Amino acid sequence: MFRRYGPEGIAASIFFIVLLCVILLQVAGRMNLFDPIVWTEELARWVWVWLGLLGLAEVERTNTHLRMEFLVNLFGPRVRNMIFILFDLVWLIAMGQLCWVAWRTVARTWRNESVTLMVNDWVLYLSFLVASVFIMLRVALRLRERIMVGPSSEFLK
Amino acid sequence: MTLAVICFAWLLLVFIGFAIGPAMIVVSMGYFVYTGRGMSFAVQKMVDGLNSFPLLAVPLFLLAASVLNSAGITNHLFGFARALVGHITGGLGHVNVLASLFFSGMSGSAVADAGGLGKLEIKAMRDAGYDDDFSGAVTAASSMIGPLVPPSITMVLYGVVSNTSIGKLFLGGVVPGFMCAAALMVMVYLLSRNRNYPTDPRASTSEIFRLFIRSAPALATPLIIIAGIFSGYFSPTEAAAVTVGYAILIDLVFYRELTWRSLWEAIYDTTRVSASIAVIIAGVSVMGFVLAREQAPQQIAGLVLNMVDGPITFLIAVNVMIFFLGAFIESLAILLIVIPILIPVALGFGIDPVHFGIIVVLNLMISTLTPPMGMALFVVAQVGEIPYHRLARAILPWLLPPIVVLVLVCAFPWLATGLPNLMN
Repeated sequence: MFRRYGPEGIAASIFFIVLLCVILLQVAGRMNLFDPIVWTEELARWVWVWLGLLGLAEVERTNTHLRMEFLVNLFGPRVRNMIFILFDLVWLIAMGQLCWVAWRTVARTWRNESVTLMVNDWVLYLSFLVASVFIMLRVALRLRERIMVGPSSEFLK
Repeated sequence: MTLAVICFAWLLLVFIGFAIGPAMIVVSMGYFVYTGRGMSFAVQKMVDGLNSFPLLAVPLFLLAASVLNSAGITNHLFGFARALVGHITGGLGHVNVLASLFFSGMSGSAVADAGGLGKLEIKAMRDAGYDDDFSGAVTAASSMIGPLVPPSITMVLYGVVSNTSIGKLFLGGVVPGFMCAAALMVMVYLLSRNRNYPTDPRASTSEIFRLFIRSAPALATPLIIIAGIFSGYFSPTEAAAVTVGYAILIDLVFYRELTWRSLWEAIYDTTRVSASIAVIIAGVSVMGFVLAREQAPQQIAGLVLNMVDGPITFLIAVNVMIFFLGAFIESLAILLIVIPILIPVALGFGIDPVHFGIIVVLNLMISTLTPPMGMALFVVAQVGEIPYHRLARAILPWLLPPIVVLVLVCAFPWLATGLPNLMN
């Protein structure tokens, strides 16, 4: 149905590996294997935010959000397709607006210094901006398929 | 009025099939547009909601369960459980419950339990002549033990939203978890008596010992987590990372079934599941901001306080509410949206936050079994290839054992708080 891995999914999975390594490094430092590192906790949190938001773009690509479908499944494929087209449109507009807000948030936090990392806070909020671009792309592609292919779209199966 | 519109709009969107997390974001944005205030903080609220160190335990415990599944450790646990209780009336039904109890010490999620062990358990029961209704129902019911026995993703999230010690919550779930397992085994025994289900021959002591040695590294996982947290070596998040490292290590040393490919698949799948949870957390953060602006906690607390006059009636009201909401709304959404509003009221009535947390988690786990929106039922129906409507009917008597445990835990707080207090 879908290509197994999308670029955003691969990137998010790599962030997951980094997250695991950073926390294990923190534990190792705690156990006096070497001097404790001060920046691991903040880095782990930031990596998790990037992981979660980029992973969200992958969730959009594979259309695997947590949702309740038992009511919508009572309708026929044509009506269901119409409902999901409407949902995608609403979500696309919302993400467009949030993308703009994310851009302004990045600008607002440009000079805010992080507590322990060598970069400023905008790097954290950039995650939302990047993810929202990927999400809009994926929702737009899905929307195109729903409209062009109709009820036999892969996304309804 | 605005509060009612927000809640109604979200519920409407969720019921007609809009994704749960995005529905919260869309409703919150509608509020910002309508009121003309707050939009510029939307992204910051969502990112800051995710930017929490204790929350990292969620993806890491999910990964630990996924790695253990990929490493085939479930087969060893199932074999050991079969040698221990396979000869009792109800045979594989007891094995199913016991294997879930063992696996719950490694995974913190009912869905991971149902998905990981479910296929193996249902196949074994089907091959032995158990009917699908019984096999599916006992598999789904036993998966609810997962989040009660540490580690537990639901408890991590409760700990984060209520600012309660996650270590204490982990310990608080041990006794109710074992009670649920015992209650389910009684149910298996009672239902199996007249059905003449086959039993295994009693395993010899040497066979049990051999299988125990094979499973021991996996069975030691919860001890490492609890000992690590209470000795001060790890926080719960670090314990989750150590569990992942330990799962990989024991596979390298003992089981040798994990491949680079299966490890990557486990990481990728966990990333996707974690992201679908992350969007709900982000949605809750922004919707929580909206609800706070509308003074929802104060309004709802006032409403609840007018309806109940003491801790017992409060707990009854909360349990009935979670039970009915749980039949229709995903348990994670209830935990993250409804529970934070109720916690101040519970504290006001003098209810211990650990006691309240265990009650909430236990009830939420029951809600994973209640149709029409029982997450564990969906998973078991899928992995066991059992029609959902059959499973939804078959599960109904199996709700009784955990409900009895829930009533006992409500009535006797020390069942939940005894062990954490003892460790203090």
